[in-house]
Parts: sequence; C-alpha cells; structure tokens
Amino acid sequence: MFKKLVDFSSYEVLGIATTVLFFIAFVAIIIRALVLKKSYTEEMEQLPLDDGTERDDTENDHDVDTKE
Amino acid sequence: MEVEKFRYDNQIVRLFFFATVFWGIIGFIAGLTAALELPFPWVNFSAATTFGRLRPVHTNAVIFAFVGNGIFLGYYYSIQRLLKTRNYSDLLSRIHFWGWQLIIVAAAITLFAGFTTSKEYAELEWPIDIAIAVIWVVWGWNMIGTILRRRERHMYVAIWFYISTFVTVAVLHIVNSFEIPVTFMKSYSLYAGVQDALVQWWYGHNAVAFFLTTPYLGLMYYFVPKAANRPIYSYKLSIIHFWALIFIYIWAGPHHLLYSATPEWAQSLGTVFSIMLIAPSWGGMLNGLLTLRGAWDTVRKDPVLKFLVVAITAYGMATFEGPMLSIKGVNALSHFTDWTIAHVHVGALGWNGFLTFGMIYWVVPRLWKTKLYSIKLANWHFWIGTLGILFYVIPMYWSGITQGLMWKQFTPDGLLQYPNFLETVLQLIPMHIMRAIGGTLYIIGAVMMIYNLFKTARAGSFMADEEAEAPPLRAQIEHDDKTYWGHRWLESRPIRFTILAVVAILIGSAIGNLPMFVVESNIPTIASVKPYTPLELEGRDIYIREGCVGCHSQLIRPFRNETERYGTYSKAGEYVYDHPFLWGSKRTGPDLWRVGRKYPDAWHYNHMYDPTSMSPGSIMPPYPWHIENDLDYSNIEAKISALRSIGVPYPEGYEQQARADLRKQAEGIAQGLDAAGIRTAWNKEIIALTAYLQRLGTDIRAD
Repeated sequence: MFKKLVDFSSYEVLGIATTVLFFIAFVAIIIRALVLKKSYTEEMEQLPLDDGTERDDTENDHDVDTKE
Repeated sequence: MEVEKFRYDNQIVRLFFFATVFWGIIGFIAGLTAALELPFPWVNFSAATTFGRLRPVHTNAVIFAFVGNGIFLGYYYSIQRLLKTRNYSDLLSRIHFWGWQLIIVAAAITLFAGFTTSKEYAELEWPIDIAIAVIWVVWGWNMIGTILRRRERHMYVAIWFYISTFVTVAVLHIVNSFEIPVTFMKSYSLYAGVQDALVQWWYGHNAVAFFLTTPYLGLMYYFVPKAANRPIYSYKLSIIHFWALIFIYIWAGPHHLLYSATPEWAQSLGTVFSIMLIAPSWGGMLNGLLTLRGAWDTVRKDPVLKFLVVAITAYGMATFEGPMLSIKGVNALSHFTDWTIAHVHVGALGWNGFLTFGMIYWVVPRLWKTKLYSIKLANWHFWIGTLGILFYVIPMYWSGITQGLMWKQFTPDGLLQYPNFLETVLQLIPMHIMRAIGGTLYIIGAVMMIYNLFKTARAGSFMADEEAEAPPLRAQIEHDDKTYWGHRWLESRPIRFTILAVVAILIGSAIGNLPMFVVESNIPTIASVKPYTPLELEGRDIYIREGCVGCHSQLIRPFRNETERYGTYSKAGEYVYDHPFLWGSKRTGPDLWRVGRKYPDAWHYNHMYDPTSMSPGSIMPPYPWHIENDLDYSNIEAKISALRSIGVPYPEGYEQQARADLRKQAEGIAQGLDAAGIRTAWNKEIIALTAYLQRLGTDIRAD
C-alpha cells in the first residue's frame, strides 16, 4: 500500500528532504523564539512561582538555615 | 478583578508518591539481585529468578514503575498549579493510578513466569499492551480535559513536555506492539528481522527520549524554579529546547544498530541526528543549571537543590555520551559491553533517580504542611547516593572498555589473543562486584529517604485539598487580547499545539522507518534461508521465554575479530523469518548466531544441565529444568497459522503435518543423544532448544 503512496526509489530525495525539513524547522523555531516580547516571556517565567495558593512559593519556605 | 476559588487535588499526588517510593525500592532490589547473579551464579536459584527473566523485571520496574510513577507524581502536582485548576476528573485520576499499578503487578508476575515478547522495554505480552494503551489514553484524556478547563491561558513549557510525552509514547507503544496473538499470553511480532530491529529501536530509543527524558524535563522546568525560588534562566531557550529536542530525538533510533545488518543509510541517519542532539540537550541542561545563577550558596545547604543539580549534570553527561556512542568508531568498541550499562545508569540513577528524590523532598513537606524532618539525613542520602552512582558507573566503564579491547586483541601471528570468550568475562568479575556495592549504597540512601519522609509525614497533617484562587480565564483573555495577540497562536491553543507536536515526531518516524517497508533492496533475500521447523520454532519460543537474549546476541558485526571468533558476519536476508528479531544488545555470553552445528547435541545437553561442565568457570546459570520439563507443543498449529498470516511461507495445510514433523525431528535428536550415552525422551524441552540452537546461522552454510 505504501508503495503506491510514497516513492522512495531514490535515497537522494530522502537526504534532500531531510535536510530541507530540518533547516525549515530550525529557522521557524528560532524566529518563533526571537519574536517573543520580553514582557510575555517574563510573565511565562513567573508561572511556576505563582500558583494561586496562600503559600505560593514567591516566599520560599525551605528554611534550610534554621534546620542546620 | 473577579477571583474564583478552587482546590488542588493532593490525594492523587500522595498516591503516586507512595507508588514511586515502593516500586523504586522493588526495582532497585531487582537490579541489585541481577547484578549479584553475574559474580555469584548461585543467586540464580530458580527458573523465575534467572538473570534472563530478572533483567526485564528490573528494567521494567525502574522505567515504568519507579520513573513512571515519578512522572505522574510531579505531573499531577505541577499541572494543576500551572493551569490554576483542579484535575479535569478525580475519577479519571484514580482509574489512571490504579490501572497503572495493576499493569505493574501484571508485568511483574508475567515476566517472572516467562511470558515475554523479548523486545527490550516492550517485553509485556499483548493483553497487557492493550491495558497500557487504555490507561495511557485515560491519562491523556484527563490531561487534555484539565488543559481545556484551565484558568491560566498560556501553557508553561513544562506542559508542552507533558503533551509531547503523552502523544509520542502512545504512537511508539502502539506501532511497536503490533503483534499477532497465538494464545492468551503468546504473540509474534508483526515485523521480522531487520524491520523488527528498526521498529524496536525506534521505539526503544524514543522510550528513553519520551519516557525518561521529556516528562522529566517538564518536571525540571517546574521544580527547579520552585526549589530555587527564581524563574527559569531563559524562557526563549526553553522554546528552542523543546521543539528542537522532540523534532530531532525521533530520528536517532538506528544508532542502536550500528554495524548491524540494517542498511547503511539508516545507520548514518541515526549517527547524524544523534550528534545534532547534543545541541538541544545541552541547551536544556544549561537552562536548568543557569537558573541557579546567583543561588549557588543555597545549593551548598539545600539537599533538594543538590539532588537537582546532580540530576541535571547527569543529564548533561548522558546526553553528551549518547551522541559519542553513536559515532561508529566509538560504538565499535562500546556496543555489546558494560559501557552501555554504565551509560544508561548515569541517566537512570543520576538524572531520573536524583531528580525524583529532589522533587520528593520538596513536595512531601508541602503535602503534609510541615518541614522536612531532617535536612542532615537528606544530605547524607545525597552523598551516599552520589557515591553509589560513582561506585556503579566507574567499574562499569572500566569493565566495558576492558572487555571491548580484549575481544579485539590479536596476537602478532594474527590469531585472537583471547579466543575463549569466557576469559574476557571472568576478567570483569571484580568490577561486577564493585558495581553491586555501588547499587547497595544507592539503596541505603533511598531507605534513609523513606525514613526521613515517614517522620516528616508523621509530624505534619496531610492536606488532601489545597485552597487556591485565580481570576477566571475570560478575564485573562481580555488582558491578553490587548497585550499579546501574536502569542496566542500556539501557546494558548492546546489542540493546535498537540497536533503540531505530533507532526514533528511523525516526520522523523516516517522517514526513518518507511523505506524499510517499501524498498525491497533494503533486505536482500537469500534463497537458502527457510522458515524454522516446528521443533525449532518451539525451541525458539523457549529461548524467548528464558530471556536468553539478555546475555547472548545473534548478530555478528563485520569486524575481523568477530568473524574470526564467531564466523561470517550476519546478513539482513538471514533474519526474514525471525518474528521477533533476537539480536540482543549485550554480550554477557558469546554471540550465538553461528553456534548451529558448532558443537554436538550432547554438548548442548550437558551445557544446559551444568554450564561449568562444558565451560569451566562459566557464570551462566544451570537450566536443569529444561531436561526434566516436557515440551508443550499443544499450540504448534496455532503458531504455524499465526506466522503464515504475517508472511512466513509455511505451505497451506502444514498445520496438519507439523506435529508429525516435530516428533520425527525430536526423535532423531534423542536417538543421537542416546548414541552419545545420554538417555532422554524425545518430548523434553532440551530437545527443542537443542534443535533451535543447532539451526542458528546455518542456512547460508555451503556444507
């Protein structure tokens, strides 16, 4: 069935397709990352630290010093 | 602003915490026992506990039970808080938990009993495979449901990793588990030989990628900022890390098959993409470590951060070493040796183990609303665990390189320096003992943790539901629409995001695997290669049942030392009827692909009864039960039919002939043994096993 759908008769095509796909994917990823606004990434970075509980860990409670 | 009140479900987190710790200890002890079986073969005292059956129990317990439950522990804790909502359904959470534990119990029982497909990390038989798929979908259903009812519009990067884990493991598990059932607990892989190998290592490699790595990266991106109380170093880097990692990882599977009978193009593909993987992997590692910039004084005191730092460092080491091992020159030495065992344990003990411990030390005091019972004890755990890792991996590196070099050593006359394989094994015994000491230290550390956490929980009171509040989603939408209209396209569209992640992993999967199925020239056929006889087939199933593949490869690489030691190298066309392939990935014993007709039948009989009688000093466990057990060939007709249906050319109606042929061949072997002074009935397991071993690799012999 696959034979009818895909023609892999030449590996050259495979190599070129792989390289092109890889290149496109990486350029897209990097552009995506670069265009993000700083205010947006800063908001994203804060997400784990603010979980909406009374004791959200913007105030760390390891209290390591007191135990040692 | 309007605020909604809701509660996080901590009970499901607690359940997965108990399971993680419980199965962790079981998995570690299984590993230690297996480690002791090599230097002290008497530890293999029964059929169920021989190394061949215990090894998959250990690997499955550690991967799917310890790490698996660890993933879900961290996932259920973090996703609720990142999305500011309770899980979509408490019922689905409970079904997920109990279903997963039942699968683990079923896995342990069936693997000890010898029900196995023999495919690494996919050993479980088809009914359990179906159960895994169902429970996995329950988890995904609950996840997507939770995402859809969130109060935080944007999905933090940890959630991307969870989504990619869910979809990719589903694809891998389903495709690699295509098998034709013969009985309730017996099946044959749909794929054969080289194709089976390629699919299996596409799965096996990406099980490492998407079960041991991506979900733990999600946990890293959540728990490192939490524990350090500072945001991740670079959110932009995390975006590049995520997409690059999932896109590249999926292509790299064939690096497990270098110098094998797979086509060169597939091997090269595996090598190239493996080397590229260093970039995203180290990007992720640096993102984790640099989060602690300016907080290193805290690392000195805080055991949680200590565990996390060593875990991320181990991730960095393993992801540097992996690409190096994918270079053919390095792989030529490392493959089939303890080097691979060292490599995977840097990942398992360091990355997965220590990240789990760090996460648990952080989560448990919060669940029980108290402080950790003893920081000092946790620090002790950290140091004893770190020593344990070093005592484990250093001897294993030493052992792997030693054995690899010994295999390849020639005398000036051009003969093998160590022609007796056993000599290269006995050289490693001191290293195997040292790694067992390392494993013991690691377990002692884990027991200290359990005591510490028990005392912590006793001192606190468990908070089953944690109160929280957040504005509803619609309030954020208004805010976002004004501020971030461009970023909603992907990061706040979970379904679109999931589809894109699936596309990213399917591209590599398709290009890496499809040509093997559609281009005939990839597997040149050999006219003299014929299907196994019914007796050999039964013998092969015993070989599979006993996990012989755990110690013996059936793949001779095209190296001078291997062809000198074992015979001519393996050709793709020799394996076309091997459902499943049995190439193996570790040579604790010698390769068996050309063992057929190398020794007389009596040698195999005596060797199976007591390996030391034929190979003095052998560390292989004795298998006296094969000599006593009657051969069960009651399903031979069903086996023939099943194999024919997936392409093995048994003639139509051969089922009626199979029993007679089986008996005739078995009686011939029994008579031969009788002539050698060994009296045995024809219907014993040893006869079938001997028939199979004597067939191996002989189809292309000229004589």
